[in-house]
Amino acid sequence: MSKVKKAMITAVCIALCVSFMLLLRVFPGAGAIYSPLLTGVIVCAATCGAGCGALCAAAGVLLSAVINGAPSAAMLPAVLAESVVCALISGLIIARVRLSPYNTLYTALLSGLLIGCAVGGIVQGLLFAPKAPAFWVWAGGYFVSSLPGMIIMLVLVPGLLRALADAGLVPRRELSTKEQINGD
Amino acid sequence: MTRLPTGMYQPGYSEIHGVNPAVKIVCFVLLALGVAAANSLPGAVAAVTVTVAVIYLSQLEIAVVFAPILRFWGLGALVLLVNTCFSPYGKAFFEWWIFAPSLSGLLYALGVLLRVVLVILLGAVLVLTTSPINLTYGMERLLSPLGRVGVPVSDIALTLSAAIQFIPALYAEGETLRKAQTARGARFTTRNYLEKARSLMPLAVSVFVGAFRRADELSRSMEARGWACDCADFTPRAKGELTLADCSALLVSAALFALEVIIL
Repeated sequence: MSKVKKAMITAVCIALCVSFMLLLRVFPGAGAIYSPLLTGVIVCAATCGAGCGALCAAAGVLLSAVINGAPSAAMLPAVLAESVVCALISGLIIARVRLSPYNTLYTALLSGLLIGCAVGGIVQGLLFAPKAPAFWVWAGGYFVSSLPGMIIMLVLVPGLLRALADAGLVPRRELSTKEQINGD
Repeated sequence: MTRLPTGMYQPGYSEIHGVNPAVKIVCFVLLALGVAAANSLPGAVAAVTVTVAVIYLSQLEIAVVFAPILRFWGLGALVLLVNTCFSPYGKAFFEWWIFAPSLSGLLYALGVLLRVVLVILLGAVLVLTTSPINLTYGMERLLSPLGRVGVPVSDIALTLSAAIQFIPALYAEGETLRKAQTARGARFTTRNYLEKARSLMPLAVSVFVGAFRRADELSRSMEARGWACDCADFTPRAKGELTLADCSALLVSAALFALEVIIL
């Protein structure tokens, strides 16, 4: 993939972080449940690599906070840390690990989401209760509240990547049903 | 016609509005770090004084500045409750199961809450007095020295500029698709998470495929015109000299940071 295309896909993913959040905010609790920011970030990391994913995470979260007011300023550091770590880990695993396509994708998704969420929880804990045992309450609370979003990501992201590969818009990583049919 | 959000920016002509965006971002970071480090009573008084002065100088409506705090009240109450009940310091009022609320815990919780509220207010002033496009230019300018150590700053600048241009188009397209999916019976408000994910899938696929198609077409046309990302002079924007207001803002922010971190 050329540098220009990577830059444009990253730009589109940043814009999607903002506009997807806008689209879903009409539904109550959509930010916490659907994780619209993470959708764009993970798709960007999976298609363009960890660096572009991290840029998408940082810019997407900051622009969404500026334009949508979500995530709120209180949640911003934790969400920012979670998104950047998730993008870096998912992108690196997809680029380096060589398992079967879906195993690689799910390993990347699970690792990225879990570690990102743990880092987000730690940041949240450090922000709201840096010393007391309450730190673990905050960190644990953040982690538990992110679980529904993780389930939705695990269903949504592979489907999205497959649709994009089928449309010929991202390089095929054997996720494309067309390629499997042609291969058979 | 679809109304697009213009962000939280409030146009104005105050001293704070006139400060260079890059300087404003640096000042915000310094002030936020200073406020976060305010652990003593004099430190808290200094942090509150500077925050009030910044809000006054911004000439913004108080209700607008405090709107993020009103949205924060639930989380704020939780911060207060959790820190009070789980503090290991001081003598507890009573003990029940794992909860041991104490006076020192309450004071500690109030300190944490004050710092969080002040940082939120400073952040609100930053985004209320700076348009998103200016914030992006500010970030680009702050990142520009990293170009000397191999960070692709021109690529990042191109990406951020394109992203800002894409937002209204993608939102308008997505809004049409969301309404169409809702009319076809998509259930976004169901309590079942798998069903939520399934309802979201058609909307997300349509939005993402449409957006990626735009990116593909744009990158093809840019490459056909000989565009390459490595051109270092992508953004020939006016750099802008630092004014007296910029220097004063930097000085005050650095002074508060030094006061909180080194002295108090």
